[in-house]
Amino acid sequence: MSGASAPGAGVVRRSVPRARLTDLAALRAFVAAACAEVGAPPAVGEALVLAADEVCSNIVLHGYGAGEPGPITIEVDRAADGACVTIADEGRAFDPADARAPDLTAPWDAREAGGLGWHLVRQVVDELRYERRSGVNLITLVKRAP
Amino acid sequence: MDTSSATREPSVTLAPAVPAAVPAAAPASDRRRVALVIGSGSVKCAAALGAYRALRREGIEVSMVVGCSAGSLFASVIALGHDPETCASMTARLWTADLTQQPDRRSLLRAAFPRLFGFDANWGLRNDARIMRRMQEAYGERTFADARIPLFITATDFHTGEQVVLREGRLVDAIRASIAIPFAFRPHPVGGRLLIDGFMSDPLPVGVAMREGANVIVAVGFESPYQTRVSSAGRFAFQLSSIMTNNLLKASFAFYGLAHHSEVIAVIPRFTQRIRLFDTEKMPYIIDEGERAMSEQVPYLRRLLEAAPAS
Amino acid sequence: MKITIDQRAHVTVVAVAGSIDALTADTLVHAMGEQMHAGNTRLVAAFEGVEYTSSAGLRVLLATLKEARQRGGDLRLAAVQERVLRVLDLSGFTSILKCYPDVGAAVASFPSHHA
Repeated sequence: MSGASAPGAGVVRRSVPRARLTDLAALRAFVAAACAEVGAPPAVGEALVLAADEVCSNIVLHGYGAGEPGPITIEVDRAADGACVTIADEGRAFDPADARAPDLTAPWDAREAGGLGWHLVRQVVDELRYERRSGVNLITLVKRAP
Repeated sequence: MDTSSATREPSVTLAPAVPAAVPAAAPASDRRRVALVIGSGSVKCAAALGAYRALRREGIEVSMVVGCSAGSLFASVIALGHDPETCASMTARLWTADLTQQPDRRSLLRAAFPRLFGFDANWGLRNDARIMRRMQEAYGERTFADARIPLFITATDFHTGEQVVLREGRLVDAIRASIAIPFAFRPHPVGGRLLIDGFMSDPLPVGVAMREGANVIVAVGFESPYQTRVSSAGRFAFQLSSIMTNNLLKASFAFYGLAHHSEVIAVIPRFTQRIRLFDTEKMPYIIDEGERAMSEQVPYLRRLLEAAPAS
Repeated sequence: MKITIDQRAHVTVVAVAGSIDALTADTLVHAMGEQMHAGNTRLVAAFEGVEYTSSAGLRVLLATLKEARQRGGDLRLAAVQERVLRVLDLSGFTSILKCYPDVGAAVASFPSHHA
């Protein structure tokens, strides 16, 4: 795993060239530390750790999926009195807006809890943006101080 | 304080409960019984009496009753063991338009001049003396322990917004807390907490039934009506709370349906007439529509219960 | 993630320590499943050592909850840390399952006779 670098003033970045589920814990620790470094209060860090974890899990499990593990790059920046986390990957295009919502039309004994992850993300962050640029997925999470 | 006794108060004394038909054997296992959840909806909640009538007619037993807001009135009379007809006449006497016609005159002064007259969490626009008196006549000192079917009534903690499940103590206190409609009746203290209407934390508390071990759940609930004319601050506030709680109702209900290990059957009666908060004279119609809506689900309900293991 | 099983008289306590995320959730769901298939359907998940859970953890709880209840038992939580409790609250879980401050209270909440 590459170390942390500071590409621009006040921005903290970490890249993982071949992301696996085993990297999630370290990525969470990075986001927590980075949010603290940019001066966000603990509640903001906590929320962004949860949201970033969900996004990265999805990238590993669905974005790259059964194929070769690919890179994930996370940048953390100050945003007003909170923080902004941008996550980039080169996997399959995946817009959170398309995330499978819980299927309520299925018979009661076949209902799955799909969509719980994105629901959680939307609950904890103030802004969730998706963009695809030259084969790269960019997810931006913003959380302002309460 | 309401001192005018010019109008004759209808008497709502509770006749001693006629014991429900004593079953010859032990009650059917919980798998073969349904939990009944009655959400907020003022007089429309009477539809739950119709649903109860249909269940009794079909010999389907109720394992527990959960009531929220006006639903707590109907839930409690059912849980006390009254037959549907007695439930209907009792609740019709309790829920009438003149309940909210006694303004709490000091409240308006307190709202306008908070420092002078003292404004705190104990504030409501309507005097609740009348409703308390009627409920006292109807329920007396009966407690949850007098219920024949396990009963749970929900309210909301005014300070934290959390749902509070009441399952012991006097019924009048629990019901009064559950229907402490914001802006109308003042919050009601129970067990050291200041409680307001249950619908603010969960208008249709299916989760309570799930937590308490229910299997098949029958849920009777209604969306809060939207205002046709917003002609006062009270109506404005009510419109806002309707918007929020209707969204809460839908989101919660979706989640419960997803998370429950058994079926949650929503009984949604179709009313062709407009029913306003206190249209008590429409109760027979409302009950019939509730019975009809429940009856439509009975074949499916039977299949579910018969498929369940015997114990 | 570390899982310890403690069989009490009529309740099985599954103590979990560590973080529950997409990587570790499978271990937990299998441990829970194993207990239920062995007939231990009255489960207390002791979460004192759980510092973090993602939606993967929620899915495990939900799947276990539904299966335990289908089999006539239940899953109850004990000693949940504040941060994890916030996530459970946010996602509606606290309204559908019982949480207790400690393992003793959670174990005692199950009736000691078989229903």
